[in-house]
Amino acid sequence: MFGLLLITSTGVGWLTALCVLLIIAEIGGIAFLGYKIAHFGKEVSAAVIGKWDLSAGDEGFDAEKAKKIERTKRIVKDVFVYLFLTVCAVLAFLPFYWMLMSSVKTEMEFRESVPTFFPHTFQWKNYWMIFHQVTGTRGGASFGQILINTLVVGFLSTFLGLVVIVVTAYALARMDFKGKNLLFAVMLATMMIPGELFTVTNYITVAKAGMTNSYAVLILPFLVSVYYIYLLRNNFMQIPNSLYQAAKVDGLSDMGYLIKVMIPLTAPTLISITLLKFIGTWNSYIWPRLVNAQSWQLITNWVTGGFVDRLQPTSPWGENWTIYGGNYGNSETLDTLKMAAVCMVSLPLLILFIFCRKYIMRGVSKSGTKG
Amino acid sequence: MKISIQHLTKIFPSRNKGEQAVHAVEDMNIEIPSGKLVGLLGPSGCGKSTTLFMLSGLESPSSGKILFDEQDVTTLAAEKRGVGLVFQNYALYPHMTVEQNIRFPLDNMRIKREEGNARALDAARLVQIEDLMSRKPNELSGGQQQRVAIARALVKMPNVLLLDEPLSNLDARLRLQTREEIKRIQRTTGITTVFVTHDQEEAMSICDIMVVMKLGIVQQIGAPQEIYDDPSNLFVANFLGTPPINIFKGKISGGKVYIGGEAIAETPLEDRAIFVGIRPEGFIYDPEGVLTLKVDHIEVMGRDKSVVSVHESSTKPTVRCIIDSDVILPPDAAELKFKIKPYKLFLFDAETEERLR
Amino acid sequence: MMEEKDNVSTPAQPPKKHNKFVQYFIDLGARIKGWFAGKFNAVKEFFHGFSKEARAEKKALAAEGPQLSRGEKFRRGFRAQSGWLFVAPALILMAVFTFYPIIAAFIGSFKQEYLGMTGKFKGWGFENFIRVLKGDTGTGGANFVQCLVNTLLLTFVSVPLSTLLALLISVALNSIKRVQKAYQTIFFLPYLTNALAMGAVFATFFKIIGTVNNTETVGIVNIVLGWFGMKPVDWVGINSPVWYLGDLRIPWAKYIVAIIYEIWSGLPFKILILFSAMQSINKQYYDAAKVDGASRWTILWHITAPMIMPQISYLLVTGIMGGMKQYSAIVGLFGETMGMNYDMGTMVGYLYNYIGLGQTGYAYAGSLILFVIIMVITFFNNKLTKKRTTY
Repeated sequence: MFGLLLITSTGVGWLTALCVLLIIAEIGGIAFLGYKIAHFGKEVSAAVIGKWDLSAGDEGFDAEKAKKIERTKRIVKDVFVYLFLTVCAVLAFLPFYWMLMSSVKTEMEFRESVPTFFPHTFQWKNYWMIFHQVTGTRGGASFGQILINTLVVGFLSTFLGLVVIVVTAYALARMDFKGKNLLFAVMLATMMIPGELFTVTNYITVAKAGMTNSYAVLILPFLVSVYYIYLLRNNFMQIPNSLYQAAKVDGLSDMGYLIKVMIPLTAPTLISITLLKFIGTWNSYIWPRLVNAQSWQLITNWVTGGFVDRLQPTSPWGENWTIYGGNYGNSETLDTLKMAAVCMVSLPLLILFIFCRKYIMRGVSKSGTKG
Repeated sequence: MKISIQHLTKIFPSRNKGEQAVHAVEDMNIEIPSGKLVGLLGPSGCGKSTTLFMLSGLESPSSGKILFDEQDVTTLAAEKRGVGLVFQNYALYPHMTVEQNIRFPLDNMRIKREEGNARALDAARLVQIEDLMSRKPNELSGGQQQRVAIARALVKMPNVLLLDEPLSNLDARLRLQTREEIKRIQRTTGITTVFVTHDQEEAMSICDIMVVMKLGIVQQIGAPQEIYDDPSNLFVANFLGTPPINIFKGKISGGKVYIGGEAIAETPLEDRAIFVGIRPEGFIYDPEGVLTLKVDHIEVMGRDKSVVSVHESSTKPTVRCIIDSDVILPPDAAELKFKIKPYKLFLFDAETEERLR
Repeated sequence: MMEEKDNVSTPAQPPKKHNKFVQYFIDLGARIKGWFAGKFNAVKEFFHGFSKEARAEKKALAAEGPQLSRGEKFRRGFRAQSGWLFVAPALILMAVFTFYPIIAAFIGSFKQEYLGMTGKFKGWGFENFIRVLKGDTGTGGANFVQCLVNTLLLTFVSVPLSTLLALLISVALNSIKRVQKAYQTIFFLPYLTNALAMGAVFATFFKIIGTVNNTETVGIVNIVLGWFGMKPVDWVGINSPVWYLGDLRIPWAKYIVAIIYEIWSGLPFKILILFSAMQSINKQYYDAAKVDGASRWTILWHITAPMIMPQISYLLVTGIMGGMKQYSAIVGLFGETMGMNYDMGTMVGYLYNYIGLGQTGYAYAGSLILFVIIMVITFFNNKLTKKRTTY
């Protein structure tokens, strides 16, 4: 019902479809709860009537009665559990809903003293505004430029990082060389040290090496992830040694064994690592802001620029701020635009999550690291 | 292909200072004629698997030589020897289908697709798994996995087929069946086959030649029946046969063999302390017999019955005699007397444990 | 004969008894010694490979073995050590971006008025540490003690709360049969988010939005509070209420916002870990308990809870570690200056603040103090978890 209204009032748009997708799960939960409550009412009345009936009979243990009480108890418990879960789920989901809805409201509507749960008018222009923030403090970087930056850095750091991780983990798991265990112990020890301790020096290092304002500076320092090496090494070690010997007898080289046997066997872990690494790039904010000028920064930096600065897009088509109407102070940021920006960084992650839920959840529960 | 093993030795160096290096295989010499099925038999840790891995090229020997048909392959890498190896746990690649598993060695040899497919199918037919080609290993039973592993070893038409404890992961019924299967496959292909086992029954039932090993040293080589009938030392006699051989402490004195106070046989050997081995089937019930045993209980097995008894000179808790079920034993007898079949009686030196002939 | 008697007559020396406190340090000393001995042996073994004896030993072994051609020998020798080739890329990168920075941080923190970009400094000493701890850096940057208090307070309030809530949700989730997967997915959604972005969303819930045609409007939290007759509070803005404790500022309203955000963002991971731990408990335990007539709560406290104790302590440890390093969420919630004049600053925020100011010496000193604090927390965590996880 809700969904239909949504589609008819705005026409089919990609965001609409996504909203529907996300809300359906929520509505499903609420509907189920409604069903449960209705069912509960029936059960309770039945139980109460049953009690009356029974009170007329003699006292003492009655299996039928005990069963009924047991059942009522269970239903009460179930309702509480579902109620609790639903309230928590709604609260957990509320920020997303609010973000989506606010991003397409007009600034006027957003600022009404009684907030609307669902927008009266959809102002897709908010997104258009975000796409075209180009001047002033944005350092001349266009959205296209930033998107290219993010994709190039994301792809390269994920791909190269995987190569380094796989090769290192392979050597540590499979090969025998002097000082291997010592090396591994030292690598693990560095995991104890907070990464921020490195940042100070790394900033100076890259600045002195003249590497600022480049892709390399965003890729190289984070290529080696000791935790993923550790994870993959353990994965590799679980592969029985006889498979390696079988491959040797079957005429496979070490490299061939790595590519044809070990990588396919550890594919789930590798996919998880790939996804988490890419998400890491997508979310990275502090380091790019530190080392690169705005035209070399990544999507999160660019989009969140709208949080602090007053957006001043100059439209190639002569658009201007009049669509926002009202009388806002010059230093104020517009929350609707802010929410549109937030949606732009968050929605791709949500979509990725919907499609790769299995791998991400597996990877997270295994690694316990974020990004 | 003929295999000849000459002075083969494998020493695993000690990991820590002060520890002894492990001599897994010591000065092994075997000639294996072409097309035979050879069993390496011994208790765990006797070096039989190490020998197999040295034959396959996965382990390199510390010294000695391995010749395939007069050609020295000692330093040749595993993939160049043309051996097929079946692992104890089969080592099938879990991410590949049965067909991909079987074709895997061929792909590495860069054999053309059509030919590879044909050969894979042939190998599958040989072990009767052609219906399972599109399954993954974890969808197969233990016996089927075993067949896939054999097919993968056979598909490259190896000079030598090596099997590492091929039956140990199967249940009892399948083991019997697979045992015959291995024999059949070996006969049809005529490939020289070496397999490793700790189960003497398994080895005896299918081997052409059996090699008994202990602590890295070869004890005896020969046809299974030969070794059973003519063991060269106490270890071999003890290791072969179910139920196992009965061992008594005894002595030779004045040309007679004594167990306890009873003289059970005559011998031309000099006086000394000995171990006397008597196979369970070597006893004949006879009231006039030479050896007296205190009966504990009698187990009736149908075809024959076994008298479980005790004797103070026995090195084992009980003495077991297998006799024909037709033989009528006196009921509730506390002691029985037996005659001994001379060819089931073996004498061993008490110190060296070597056979005395 | 005499000697024997002598031996018997001497009573066995009882080990000298120390009090518990002293004994603890003696044990600790022994453990540390043992640890170093272990490391030392590893190093010794590593270098033993290069010693003359080892080479001679090897040579003797090789002489016994099959004779190899020189090419083959080289090939084998190369192959034996070729593992280094495989780890080389990682090793080089780590040398530059991990090992070197550790050394540089230790050295640099003792350089007074050190400017990393130019490499200029005035002399050696502990002044950096003293100034950082005193808040007397003279640069107008964040105050370290303020940042430390903020970080510890936020972490130690939000992590236990978040873990407790996650535990409740997981137990509830574990007890239902239908739509379990759907709920699980919804609860996991907030995991894959950008801390900065979601911080900004939370800020809109709490803020005083502004004026439309000269009427003040407020965010939903204030509206809800208004239903209960409460006056709107400026939760995140410039007029946010602050208590003063000497020089220390306690912006309680902002704390509440930050804690709520931390709980929300910490939930998904914690629920995932706890729920999957509960799912992996063998059903037989529950069946056995049911047969024994255990009630729902008995099962929860005597079976489920002990079984997932390792996960709970793991979550507390990782949660606290993560909490000590929080930064982006604060920026999302309160902007680049982390509230008014860094009153919501965190320790990591402090570092970036001083990197930005070019005051490398202070940044190093701050990062080392952070390192020490994290090590201390890790140490106590290990002590605690070791005790708790044995069942």
